[in-house]
Amino acid sequence: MIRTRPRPRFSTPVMTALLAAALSACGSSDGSPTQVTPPRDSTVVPVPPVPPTPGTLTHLGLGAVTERYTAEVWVRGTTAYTTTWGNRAGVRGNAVKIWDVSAAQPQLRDSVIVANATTTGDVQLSDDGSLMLVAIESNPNGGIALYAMSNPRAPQLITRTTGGEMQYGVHTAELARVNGVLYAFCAIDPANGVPARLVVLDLSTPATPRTVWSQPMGSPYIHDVFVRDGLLFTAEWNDGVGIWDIGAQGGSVSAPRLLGRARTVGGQVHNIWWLHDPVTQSKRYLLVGQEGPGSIGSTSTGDVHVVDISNLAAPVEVAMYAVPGAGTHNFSVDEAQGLAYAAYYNGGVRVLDVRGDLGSCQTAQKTADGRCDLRQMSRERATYAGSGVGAVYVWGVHWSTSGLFASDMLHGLWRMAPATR
Amino acid sequence: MGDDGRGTVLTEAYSNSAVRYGAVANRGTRLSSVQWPTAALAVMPSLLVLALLVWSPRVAQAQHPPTAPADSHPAALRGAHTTGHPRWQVGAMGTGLLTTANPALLGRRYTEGYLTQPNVMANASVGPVRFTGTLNLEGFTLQRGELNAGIYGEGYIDRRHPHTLVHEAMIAVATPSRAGFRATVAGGKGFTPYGTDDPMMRPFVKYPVNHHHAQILERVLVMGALHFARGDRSITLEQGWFNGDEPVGPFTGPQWSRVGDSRSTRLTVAPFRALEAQASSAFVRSPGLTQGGAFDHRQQSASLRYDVPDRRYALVEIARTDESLGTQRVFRFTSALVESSVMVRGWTLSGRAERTDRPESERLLNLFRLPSGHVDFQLVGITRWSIGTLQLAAPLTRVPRGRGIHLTPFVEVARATATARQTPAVFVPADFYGAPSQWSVSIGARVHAGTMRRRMGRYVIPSAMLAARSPSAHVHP
Repeated sequence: MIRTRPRPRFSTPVMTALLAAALSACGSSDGSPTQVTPPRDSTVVPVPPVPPTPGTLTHLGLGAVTERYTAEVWVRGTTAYTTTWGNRAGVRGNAVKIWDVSAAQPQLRDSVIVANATTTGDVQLSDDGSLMLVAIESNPNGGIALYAMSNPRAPQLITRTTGGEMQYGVHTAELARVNGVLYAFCAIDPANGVPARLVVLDLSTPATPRTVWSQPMGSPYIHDVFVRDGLLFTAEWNDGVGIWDIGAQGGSVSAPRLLGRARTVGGQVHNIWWLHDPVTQSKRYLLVGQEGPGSIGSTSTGDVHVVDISNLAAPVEVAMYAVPGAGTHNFSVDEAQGLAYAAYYNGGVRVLDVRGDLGSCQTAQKTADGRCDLRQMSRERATYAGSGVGAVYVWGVHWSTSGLFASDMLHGLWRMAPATR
Repeated sequence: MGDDGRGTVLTEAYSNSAVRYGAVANRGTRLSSVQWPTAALAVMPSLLVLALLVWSPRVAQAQHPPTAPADSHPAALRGAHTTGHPRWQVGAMGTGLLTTANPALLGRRYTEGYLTQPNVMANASVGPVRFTGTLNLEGFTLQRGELNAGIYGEGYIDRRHPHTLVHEAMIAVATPSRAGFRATVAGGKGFTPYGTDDPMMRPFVKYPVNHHHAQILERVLVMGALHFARGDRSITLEQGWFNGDEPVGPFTGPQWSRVGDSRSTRLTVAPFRALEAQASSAFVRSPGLTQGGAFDHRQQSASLRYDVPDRRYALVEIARTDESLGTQRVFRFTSALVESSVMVRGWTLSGRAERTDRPESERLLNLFRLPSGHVDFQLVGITRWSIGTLQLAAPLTRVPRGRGIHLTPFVEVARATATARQTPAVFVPADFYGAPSQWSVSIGARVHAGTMRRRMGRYVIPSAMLAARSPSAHVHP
């Protein structure tokens, strides 16, 4: 639930001066090619409206993980799955933990150990719940593991790939069904002399995944994808967002057709969500996560960028959202409510109102380069930073009808009450 | 003796009597509980090289007499320069070593043996042209890396990585000296004009953590230098252009397409014979990913070096590496190091104190290895290493019937403390290593044969001459 507290107001001259200084400082911070809405008025520095202080999501429970660092989270029904990352005092991130989330407090039920993994990054269940996909790092033991989920709390290994193009490490892997066929879209790490690439696997026969498309991609690497309605969006770091037709307009998964490319301010394109609003029927915006440099566990950087893809051939960044001192990571969106949940590492979880026109705002709500600032538009609705354990470092967030969950690298699996409008 | 304009190209060589380095493995030691190099057979080529050096009449001819200082042959050296008669010299070195580190990681003690720093070095000159070459055989003898608290780089961590087979292959050409000025142009593979001397040519067997902050080596480079000398005083300005990519393995070549994408500048001032000050800076493009796209490094180094042969040696250095994306500085790592040696009756006592920041990255299944080439713009922490090291080396010993082979036994003890510079951090040193501090003890012997160099990675021809007369980094004190 969103609770709102009054926010102290500053005097107009002070705010004006501070804003002018901030705009001046930020204006020259990036030199990468960017498509942004031009500023409408550069001669007047208006007084910005003071956005309301966001509320705080209600804490429900914590499933603590202390022996490993926690990575991604996926939830289906009353079962949650969290992966693990890196090395914590000698314990590798080779486990997928299985949680009972039928109650407020997540209860650990079991763990699956993935052979020769140092990180099990992404985890996802297929839309029919029959398969679980786990991405595995690192070089030279990268690959994927597929599990049969006839019993959702007792995954049975079908295959764990080794060697080949995926040996360098599968940084992320997404399941998506296109024209009735289930595919895995795998973002492969680069190695020295080996470029990063996207590998798409046909999982019609899960025991023998079949590569249907493999393409070097990204500068310097591809990090993630988003697949929906026959379009493939690729997060290609400093090459921006690639928009590919894999069935929407005559293309296919085995022969994608590049429709356009979006470049966001600062590059470092990390993850994507294509918003569909069932209320307004809008499919106009991409939420793009930027992952800047940071020190895992303590610092992070990177903003949320909003890209208007009304014209797929010429997408334009129209808005952004930043959290001072923290950077965004993965997203999950409650589209029925029009609320986006963004994992924000040391900034916890941020809830953004993404319903309606995100690209139109008052001059005072714009950044120096003319993009709308969702914070100034009072679209930041709530925050969450754990409960009673000190600093957090939130990797992922997952909203579903089962509830709202966040994976905290330092502490484990949080459960919160979803926000409502 | 100053730069008289008749300088030489072969004055780096020095007397065998002053050499302490070099080793043969502890062949007589019982090491049943010790892991010896997995590439044990690879040791044999090194030993073979040493044997050849000893028995080759031609090589023996090239050596300076054991008791003669290198600069006692001005006529011969001048002859090399003025007559154009080719001259060449060959030497070899290596260290047999037993190291125990406790804890090396996860609370475990490791004890291992190595043949480390096996090198074959050659110098040759014809007229004003000089060739400097070094083959490093660590790719055969040190594949798993050498236990070395805090060290990192080129895919290794807490173990020192093997260097590339072609460590140096540089050709330098100098102009004649005019009014004390001389210009040098050099090219090939070797050390960039940045930072301080290679740790291999300094007193300790274990490398300082700051190796990659304070030296940039094994690059394909082109460099130019302007040198001015008057008496014992000199000033040298060097500028180099090279490939930014770090070696990815001992037998892997550079990215030729990247030659010239990085640069360094070094200013060296020698106000008198025993003292040298340098300040240098470098821009290194994407050293961590051969195809580019990783962090760029902006590095700075300054040092003061005092060296009186066979008596005293001291080095004070500070270094800094900024990792950046474009013009945005993201991470900064700093280093300060002091080391010194004194020699009394042939015994050498050396001490080193270092404090250096190290970036932490995800480790592989082998916890001593890092992903090589993986691009991740995040660290898992920054660790500050504080290390104190002491070494006692016995007097140089000639190997009986070894015809030029010399041994220097030594024992080296180090205590390292690692702390996270930022908290919370996902890399917690005390948790990972199993203790807040680590000890390591190394015993071994250096062996050398043939003609050695005083310093490594110096290609400015007049500087080489000065180095020959000045105390050697390799001969401490």
